[in-house]
Formats: sequence, C-alpha cells, structure tokens
Amino acid sequence: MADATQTAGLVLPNAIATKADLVNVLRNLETVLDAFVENSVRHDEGVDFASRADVSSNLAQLVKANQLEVSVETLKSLKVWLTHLKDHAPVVRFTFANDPNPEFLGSIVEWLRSSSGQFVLIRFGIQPSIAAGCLMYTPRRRYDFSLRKNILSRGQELMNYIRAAAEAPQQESKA
Amino acid sequence: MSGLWFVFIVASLLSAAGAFLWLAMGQRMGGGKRQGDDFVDAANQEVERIFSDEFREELRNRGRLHFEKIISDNAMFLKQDLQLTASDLNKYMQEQIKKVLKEEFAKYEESIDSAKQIAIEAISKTQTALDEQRQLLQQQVQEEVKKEKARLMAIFEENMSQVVNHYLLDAIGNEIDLTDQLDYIYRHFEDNKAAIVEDIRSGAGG
Repeated sequence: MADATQTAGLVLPNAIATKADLVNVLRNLETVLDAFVENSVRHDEGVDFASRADVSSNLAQLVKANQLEVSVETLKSLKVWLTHLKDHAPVVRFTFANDPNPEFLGSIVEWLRSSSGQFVLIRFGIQPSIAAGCLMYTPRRRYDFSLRKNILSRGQELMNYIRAAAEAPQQESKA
Repeated sequence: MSGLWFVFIVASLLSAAGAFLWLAMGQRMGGGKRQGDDFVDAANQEVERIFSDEFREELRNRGRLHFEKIISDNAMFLKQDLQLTASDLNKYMQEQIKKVLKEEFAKYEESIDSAKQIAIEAISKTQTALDEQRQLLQQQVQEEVKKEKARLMAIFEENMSQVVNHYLLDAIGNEIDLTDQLDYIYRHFEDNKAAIVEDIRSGAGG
C-alpha cells in the first residue's frame, strides 16, 4: 500500500489534469471521507444505515492508480496530499483554439509531468483566433506555440511565395 | 491731174508776186507818186482779174479738198498711229502689268514661302517643345506611377501577408481538431523542453 503523504510514492493520474479536476477530486474525496466518518459513527452507535457517497471516476482512478486501501486514514492522507498539491503544485496555463477533450489534456499533462518530474496541473482557456496550437504560460514566462504566430512570423516568406508566383507568368510571357 | 493744177497755181502765184515786185521796185527807183499809183492800181486790177471770185472759189475748193485730203490722210495716219500706239500701249501695259503682277506674285509667293517657312519653323519649334514637354511629362508620370506602384506594393506587401494570414486563421480556425495538433504542440514542447522544465521546477512549491 502506498503512503499517501509521500508524494514520491503516489501517482497522480493524467485524467486529473487541471486544477479544477484536482479541486473536484478533493471535494469528492471530502464527501467520501465525510460519508466514511458518518458511517463509522453510525456503526459505532449501532445504526443500521450507511450512506454511500458518489465516487467520481477521477477519484476512482486515483485510488486505483495508487492501489490504495480505502480507509478513513488513507483518505485523510490522500486529502492532505491533494490539498498540498492544490496549494503547491506548479500550474501551467494554456490557451487553445477550441475546447480540448480530456484525452488531449491527459496527453499534454503526461508530457509535462514526465518531463519535469512534477505533478503539474494545468488551467486552460479558449481563444479561437490562435487557429491551432496553444499559448503556454509557465510560472515564469509565456510561450506562443500557436499557428497564428507561426503564420504571422512567416509573413515575409509568404510574400516571397506570392511575389514568385506573380513573377512567374511574366517571365513565361517574356520567354 | 491734181499735180498739174498744183503747178499751175504755184506758177500763177509766182507771176503775180513778180509783177508786184517789179511795180514796187519801179516806183522806188524814180517813178512819181502818180505813176506809182497807176501801177498799183494796174496791179490790183490785174490781181483782181487773175484772182477772180470763181478762181478764188476754185482755189478755195481745191485747198479745201486738199486740206481735207491731208486731214483725212493725217487722220488715217493718226488713227493708224493711234491704233499702233494704243496697241503698243496696250501691249506695253499688258507687259508692265504682267511684269508688275509677276513681280508682285513673286514677292507674294516669296512672302508666302517666307511665312510658310516661318510657320513651319514655328510649328516645328512648337512640336519640339511639345515633344519635350510630353517626354518630360511622360517621365514625370512614369516616375509618379513608379512611386505610386512602389507605395502600393509596399502597402500591399505590408498588409497582404496579414490579410492572407487572417484569412487562413479564420478559415482553418475551427477546422483543425486538437488531437491532430498534438504533434505540432509536442514539437514545440520538445524544442523548448529545457526552458519549460526549468520554469516548472522553479515554479513548483511557490
């Protein structure tokens, strides 16, 4: 069983890509933890009733990926870890041309986490004018990987193509 | 016949004049006044006898005829002379007029040629000036067109890439699926991997 307090021993699934995902998982975890506490109290009081909290897929993936034995302590440790991540994990902001699907975000996060060795979280916004690619904002700087910038930065090259295309018929006519 | 009459008349006149002279000389050389008067009377009588009215009339007629003939002849000669003179004068006038007209026409033609030459020179100069002006104007227009073309080309080049790019961006903005962009994004990630990793690590725990 992995120790939830040791980040080195825990794995954050790529499905939990954004800080919102993390907050949702944390909230879901708190709900589940509250249900566990309530059920424990009921069990101690002899109440034959147990409430079942809904477990989100991300939380389920988190537990499964870390092969955790679900208990109050484990969940509390996991909550501490997630809270720590919420407050201290590096957040990289992205701007995409259109709404990304979870698989796409998972791919991005996987690369960031595997490259940096950090539990990187992302936040994203939508800006259709960039056409494709993305804008990336790390804690220190901004990277423009958009197709818009790529095309605009190659304006002179485009004009050379246009000029060459315009001069070609003239040269043919002269010949 | 008329010549014979003329000789006869002249002889009569000479004889009468001789008689008159003879009487006059005789009176001057010693005759008395009386004798002189007689001679004069005799001479007058003789003259009257010779130069009777008929004779005088005849002489008058002859003279008139002769005078008429002379006049007629002279008139004819005068007429001929006049005709010749008129003809000559006419010819002379024609020649003079021709000459004057010819000279005037020559002068006129010369003036016309001169004016024509001046006009041609003026037109030529004007044409040359017009050609120069036209050439200058053409050069100026060409320079202006060239400048305008260069300006428009500069504006075109300045804006064309933006127009095309905006068109491309607008056209493909929503057409590229994000999943298809992963390779493109990964390529940029890999190109900037070191910087990105450094940024993330330096930002972690902040």
